[in-house]
Amino acid sequence: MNGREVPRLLALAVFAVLAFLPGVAGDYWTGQLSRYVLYGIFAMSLAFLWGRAGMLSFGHAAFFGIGGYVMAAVLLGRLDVGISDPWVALALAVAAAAAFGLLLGLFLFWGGGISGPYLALVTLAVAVILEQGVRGWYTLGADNGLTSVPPLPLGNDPWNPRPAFYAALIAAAAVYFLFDALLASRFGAVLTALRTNPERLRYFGYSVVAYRIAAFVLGGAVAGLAGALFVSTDSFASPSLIGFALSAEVVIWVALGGRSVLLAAFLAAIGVRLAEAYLSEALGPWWLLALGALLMVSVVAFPQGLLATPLLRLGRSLGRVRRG
Amino acid sequence: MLEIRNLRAGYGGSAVLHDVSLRVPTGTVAALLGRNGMGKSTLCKALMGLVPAHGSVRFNNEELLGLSPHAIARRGIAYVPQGRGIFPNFTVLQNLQLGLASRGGRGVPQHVFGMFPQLEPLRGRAAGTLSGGEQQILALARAMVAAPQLLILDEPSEGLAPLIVSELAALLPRLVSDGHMTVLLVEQNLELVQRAASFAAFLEKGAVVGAAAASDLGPRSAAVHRYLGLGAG
Amino acid sequence: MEFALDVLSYVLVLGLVAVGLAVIFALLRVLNLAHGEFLMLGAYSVLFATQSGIPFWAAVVVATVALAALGAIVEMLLIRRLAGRPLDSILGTWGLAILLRQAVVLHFGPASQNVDAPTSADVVIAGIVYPQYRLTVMAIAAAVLLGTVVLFVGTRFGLHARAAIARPDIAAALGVDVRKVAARSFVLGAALAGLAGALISPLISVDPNLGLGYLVPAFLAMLVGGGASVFGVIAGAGVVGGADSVLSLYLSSVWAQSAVFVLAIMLIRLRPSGLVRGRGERP
Ligand SMILES: Nc1ncnc2c1ncn2[C@@H]1O[C@H](COP(=O)(O)OP(=O)(O)OP(=O)(O)O)[C@@H](O)[C@H]1O
Ligand SMILES: [Mg+2]
Repeated sequence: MNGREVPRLLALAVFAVLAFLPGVAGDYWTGQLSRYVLYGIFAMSLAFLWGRAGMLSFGHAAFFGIGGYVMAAVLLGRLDVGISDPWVALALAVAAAAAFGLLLGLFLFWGGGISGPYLALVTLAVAVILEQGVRGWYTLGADNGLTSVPPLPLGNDPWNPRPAFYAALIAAAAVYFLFDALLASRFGAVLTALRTNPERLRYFGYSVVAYRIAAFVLGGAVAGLAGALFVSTDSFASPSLIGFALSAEVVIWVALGGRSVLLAAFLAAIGVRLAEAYLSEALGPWWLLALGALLMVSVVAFPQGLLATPLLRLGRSLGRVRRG
Repeated sequence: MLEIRNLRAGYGGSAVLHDVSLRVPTGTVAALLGRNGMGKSTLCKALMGLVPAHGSVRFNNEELLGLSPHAIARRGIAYVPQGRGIFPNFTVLQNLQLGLASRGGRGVPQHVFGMFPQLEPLRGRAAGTLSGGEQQILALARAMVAAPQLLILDEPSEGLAPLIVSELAALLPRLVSDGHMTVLLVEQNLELVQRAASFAAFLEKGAVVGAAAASDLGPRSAAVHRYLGLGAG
Repeated sequence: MEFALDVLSYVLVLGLVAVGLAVIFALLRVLNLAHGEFLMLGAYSVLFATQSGIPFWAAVVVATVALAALGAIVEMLLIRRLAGRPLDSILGTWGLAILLRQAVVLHFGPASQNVDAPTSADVVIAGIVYPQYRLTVMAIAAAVLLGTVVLFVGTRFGLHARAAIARPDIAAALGVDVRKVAARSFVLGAALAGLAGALISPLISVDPNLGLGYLVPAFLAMLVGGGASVFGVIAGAGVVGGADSVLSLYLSSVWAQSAVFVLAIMLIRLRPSGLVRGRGERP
């Protein structure tokens, strides 16, 4: 067996366990969990970009928000494109996020361009600009956002949260295995080189810019998918989905989980959200304070992330058991 | 006395120096010869604490390995890097003042201008506007400002006109003439080594593979032929 | 005229904030996302001190000293461990920013509060009436910025700092203790941000999130200015702050800020090394 099988089995196990949760969680928590799973997809898209391709998009909510707003605006007829089918709208939302990734990528990377910490700051500024734009744009509901977004047509009972949960979970699994397959391919090898040694990549005749943009488009599209699904699950697109706050949050999830392990990022998003739901009431403002402290400690003492290290170790020992 | 024992060093996991041992007695100019890419500059950087290294580097019976670069500098060790490492936008005087960083004090001592009179009229000029020879003199003067006990020179003759190289050849023995200072001269210029150094060690593939007295370094000598592959054609 | 004074006062305050940010990035490659919180804490220090009965100007001094002390602690516990890891530094300092903000929320509550200016008098200059306090703030900010420039251009510390920015390896081999220079620069930057927050505290409503509003413009000022020289950063603050003020004349403040961000991104993209070139050796 090869080295990739164990992490895949581990991921399968995680998705299988999640699939059983609605049975024990009740409707309210199932509804919440579907949102957390979508945040998990969002986190994976950032982990892919940052941990694997070496590009920290600190304004990653821009993509999430574009996906969400396009979904909402199209279905509510605010953007008159003559589409009412939610699935087509979903495709359009993903395409819009991808297109934004392409344009932004072209602008940022063409002819050398911006990388490293500069990229982080510039993408952050982009997200802030978008948030302010949305807040000032009345077609998109300005500060109030867009409410009553119709859900995806999943099942007949709009009050049953399970179909949305399973849709989210299937999307998460699909995204995970798509990224996983991509990273196992030659494309993944090039991305790794992009992160660790772009000079050598250029030397061997690869177009660094093209790969950067491709990764950006892909990461953006998946974030857009998460955003669109989120808005249709939540039936609400608000300016807070597109700007600084969510951008910073997703970076925290991915950092705490472990940027280079997709599953760690996914689980960290769910875990932090769950912890917040349980603890923020008990701890009040101390919750955020603790999160800030945790982030500091983890960056200094566990730069690989809090979840990635045990996950990798578990994967390795499982691999040994299988072989032995 | 500089004593290097079993030094290993490299960049990010790949070793460049495998096993370097070398002794330089106080008051001498010792040369280190080696072809391009053999690790001469890496050795200099390892001595200055600029690349991670293992083994032992003792200077006047004090272990230097493991100290940070500024701490090494403050123990009386001055370094003129390959390419001179002057600050082109600083004035000549500011470059010289930086030489005091290892020693403290404010004013650049007048004897430096006594040793390098050509710098005196250039004090206020941006160092980047100096000629290559003047820049090398400046780098040397900056190293001498702190009155070091050990001077490490990495290919000082590189890119200099023959006339200036011969000035350098005359200067180096004078620096050690009072017997207090030691010079480690990394070079590829045989003539300079012959005139300035008392002996030379040869570095090849990350290890010292031989040594010879300076008088035995004629272009047709066996040592040069063997280690540098020169003089054969 | 009045407008010009407003622009100038914003630029000067932004300059105070941006200098510390830029110097520590140039020296250690650490992007300090908690720098805005230093400004915020400067304002809260004044709030706290004046509420405890300390006179305003003494409170400003207290705030500056307090932030210098906090800067020293933060440098020791966090910043030096993040040296040379710019992306990680973004995260670590973001954690610190969250922590500081929440600590303020816990102690002072989330609502915004006001600090009274030491004087509400107006003065007439060149035919216009202008608040005396604002003029005082400008004078102090200008003097402190000038002092900072002199520190970096005219002193041994400044020479070492500029050398460490330009060629850290060579500076270290000459005997410059780069870590120490960086630590002192960080403390200085924290103090300057604290001073800026203290000075503007009577002019704004003081709330726990006020740092963010200065952080992004300060970063843009640093990037636009090239980041490696004090002059460059001040020039960058001039561009970012000036553009923001001018655009605010024609656009609502939110749109003006967006336009400034777009402008700054364009500038950064087209001139990655900033408006003022050179790696540190230039003042
Ligand atoms: N910063 C670096 N990172 C990785 N490898 C390096 C680095 N600097 C040098 N090397 C490699 O280490 C080896 C020795 O380099 P070094 O500069 O010490 O050689 P040298 O003998 O000084 O050569 P030259 O005569 O050209 O100056 C070379 O193969 C070089 O490619
Ligand atoms: Mg060399």
